[in-house]
Amino acid sequence: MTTPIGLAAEDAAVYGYGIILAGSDASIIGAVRRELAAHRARRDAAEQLWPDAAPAPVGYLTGADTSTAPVLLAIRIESDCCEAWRAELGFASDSETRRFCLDALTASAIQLARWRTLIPGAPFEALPGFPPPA
Amino acid sequence: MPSSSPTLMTRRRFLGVTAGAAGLLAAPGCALPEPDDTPDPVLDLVLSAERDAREFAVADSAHGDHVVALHRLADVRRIQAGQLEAALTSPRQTPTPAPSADSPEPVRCPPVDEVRTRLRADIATATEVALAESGIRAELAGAVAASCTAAVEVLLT
Repeated sequence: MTTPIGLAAEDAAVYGYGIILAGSDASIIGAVRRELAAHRARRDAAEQLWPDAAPAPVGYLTGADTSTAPVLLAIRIESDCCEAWRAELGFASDSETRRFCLDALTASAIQLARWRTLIPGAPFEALPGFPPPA
Repeated sequence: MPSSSPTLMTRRRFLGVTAGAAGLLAAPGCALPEPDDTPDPVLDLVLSAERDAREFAVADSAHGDHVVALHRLADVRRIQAGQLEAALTSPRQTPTPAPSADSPEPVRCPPVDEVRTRLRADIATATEVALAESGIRAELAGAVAASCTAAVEVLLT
């Protein structure tokens, strides 16, 4: 079984929040610690949901457009998680998996909105996980 | 000789014809499909998003610090309504216009507490749809539920 994209996104989030933690100042370090724990718990729960899934391939969050600024990287992580769980929700064939995907999508959408309050003029997602309207 | 006069049907022939027609309708694969009168649950989401888009857009100073958030939320709900409408299983019927009143009810934005209550009801409906559907309809309903939850938890705090 290949790695479900939701599980891969949570793996990337755990890795990414670890990087953010190292560069965080006092204003956000509490939120970063909380989110690191939340994504780690969700990653572990997703591994229980898909026990036969292969580990996520390494190399996430290494694109040229990946910001290293803590808040921007956190926004990118939550946005990626929204996209992954939105797609997983569409694939899911049983109610337990659908509920898990929806809860994960909602959690990332809330945190995405929270991080964006720190960026003046940042948009609010009408449909988290979907590309922005043209 | 051909005749234009109507052919009288005997009782026996009538029974034969009607029994044949009934058998045809009852035969597997030949039955006419029952019209599906079940309302599309996504339509409820479209209608509430359209109503919110209309009403939140007229938020004013009576809404205090939440005016900007409500205007932003009006845009959000308009985008959601448009995308949800594209996912309806059948085209929406144009509603019959209500009898014209002397002065139409002015559009008003409800107080913020009522906005939150309304959004929570929409979250519940969108969640039901997301859990019952699959594919793009589940994805859209799930995204609407997530966005409205974020609106209540972050935008309207």
